Amino acid sequence: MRDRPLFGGLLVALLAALLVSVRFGAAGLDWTAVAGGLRGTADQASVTIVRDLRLPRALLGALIGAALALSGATFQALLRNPLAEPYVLGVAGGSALGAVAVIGTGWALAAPWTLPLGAMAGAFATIAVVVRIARGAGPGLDVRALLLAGVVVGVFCNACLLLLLSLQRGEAFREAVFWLMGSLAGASWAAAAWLAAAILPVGAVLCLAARPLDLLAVGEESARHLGVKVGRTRLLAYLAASFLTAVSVAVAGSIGFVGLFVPHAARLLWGGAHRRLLPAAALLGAAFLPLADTLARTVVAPAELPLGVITAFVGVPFFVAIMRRRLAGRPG
Amino acid sequence: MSLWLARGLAYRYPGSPVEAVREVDLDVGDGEVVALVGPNGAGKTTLLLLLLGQLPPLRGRVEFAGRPLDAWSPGALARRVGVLPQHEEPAFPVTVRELVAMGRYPHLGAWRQERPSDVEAVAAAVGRCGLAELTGRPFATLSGGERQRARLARALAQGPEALVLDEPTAGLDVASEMEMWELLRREARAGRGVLLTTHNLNLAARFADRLLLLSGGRLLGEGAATDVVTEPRIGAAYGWPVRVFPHSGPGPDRGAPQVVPLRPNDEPERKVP
Repeated sequence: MRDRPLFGGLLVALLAALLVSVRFGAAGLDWTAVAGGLRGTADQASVTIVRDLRLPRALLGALIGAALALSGATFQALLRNPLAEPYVLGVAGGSALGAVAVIGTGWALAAPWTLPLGAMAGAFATIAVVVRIARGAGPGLDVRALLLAGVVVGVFCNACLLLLLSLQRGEAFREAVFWLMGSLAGASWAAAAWLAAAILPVGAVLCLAARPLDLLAVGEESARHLGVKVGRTRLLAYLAASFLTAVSVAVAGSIGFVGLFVPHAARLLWGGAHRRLLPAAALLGAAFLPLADTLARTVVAPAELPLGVITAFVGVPFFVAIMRRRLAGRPG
Repeated sequence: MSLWLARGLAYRYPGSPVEAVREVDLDVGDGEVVALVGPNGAGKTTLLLLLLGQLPPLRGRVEFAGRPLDAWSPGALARRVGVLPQHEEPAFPVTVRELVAMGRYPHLGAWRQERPSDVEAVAAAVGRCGLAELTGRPFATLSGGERQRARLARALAQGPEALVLDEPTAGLDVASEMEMWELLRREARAGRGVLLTTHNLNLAARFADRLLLLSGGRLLGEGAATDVVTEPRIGAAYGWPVRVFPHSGPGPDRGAPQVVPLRPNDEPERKVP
């Protein structure tokens, strides 16, 4: 396979990112302690930090990075729009609404597991409403109808969200705002395992069946003439990408920017064929997010910066650099 | 062998008071180039979409390779017919090789890996269209003529028996337009049936085996260029007076009718709007 070096390199980068993420943090560990912690031979504190705190958090970050990058790349092809990202069609708004509703009722404090459930319920309700509105416009799934439906539902969710937030007081308000900023602080082995079970199968199917996205990105009419069932393909791609976003947001809130810039970086570096682009973007996102989270945890340790701030601060210069290099190398 | 056979074909767009295509009979066989000509809005593109099963006929029937069009799945038809739509704007950069490789989609579907036979088909199509030096170039950086050849290569990569092209030479310079016509002629010699729409009556008269003259959704003429490209027929179809001269040669096109549209002072006795 021609792409073996590419994916080999990305896997090495992912592994390195995970190790760096486990090595650095508020509590100083050296590489010996990391190795000992992973094997269980170091002192109890190091083992706990490595195995129970940092490793699940790094893995969770990798999974969410991969899911957001995949989702963003899919939305960009589906909507034929370079500004598309995982939250463009209102999934984040619906999910935040669900989460803040759970926080507002006080359930989140009493039973923390209700928070991701609420977020997920909000996200899936949004997806269902968006599809329903978009399909009303005609047979199949029309891109303009989908885009408008998603944006409108998102705006409505945000309005409801502001209403709910304005009614919150004290601790609940703080918790809601903290959730909205997005964070991997809630990481646990259970969360990572649950997320892996949700993301890996859907992500794998999306990567393996990505070829129709190439055709949709080139043009709807050509895709039709090449035998693509355009409406059905769009619906499936929309559902898969929204699912990936929904489960990510439910666990970690809406972490911005990864799903926008990682697909573009992957496209600029490795081209637009989605069978290569999607897995490459997923691995790049998986390597990027744990690194960004490491910065978020260490820059003002022991406090944490919002992860979305770091993804933007690190991502923007990186993205601009790639873009300038690529545009400079283009003839004409 | 007959590829397309259409009888009494008619279509009306939803909400439109007039029929865009009315009672059209049409045959396209293998190895021939058939040019569909007529003024803007005559129904040329609509007719192509009817022949490709992208629009449901209001009346009449269409067969491809002896079977009614509804019996063809989109994938099965795409393995036999390569199509160049008029408009296409990739939303993201693709290289020429990536674009041409999309022609293998009908054979690969969403899941399958490219096989050696797919790679060969793509390379052969690239070679036939003279794009071997350009495979790594982004499609967006190509000239108009190169773009059309890249899109034709994608259609050829499908391994089709028939090619359907909607104004493949629109906006091309003389050399690029001639290259495209020569390529199509060569594909017809290789046995493919070629159906295209065009506004270039003079080249259609020289390159096409048959012309179909469409106006207001109806066929005003059908047959060899000398029968269709005549002063009364072209004048009536386009609503503009023309003179038709025989091509003076040299070469095999000698005698092909060539159209010269008139200006108001060219021949005062003829009415020019």
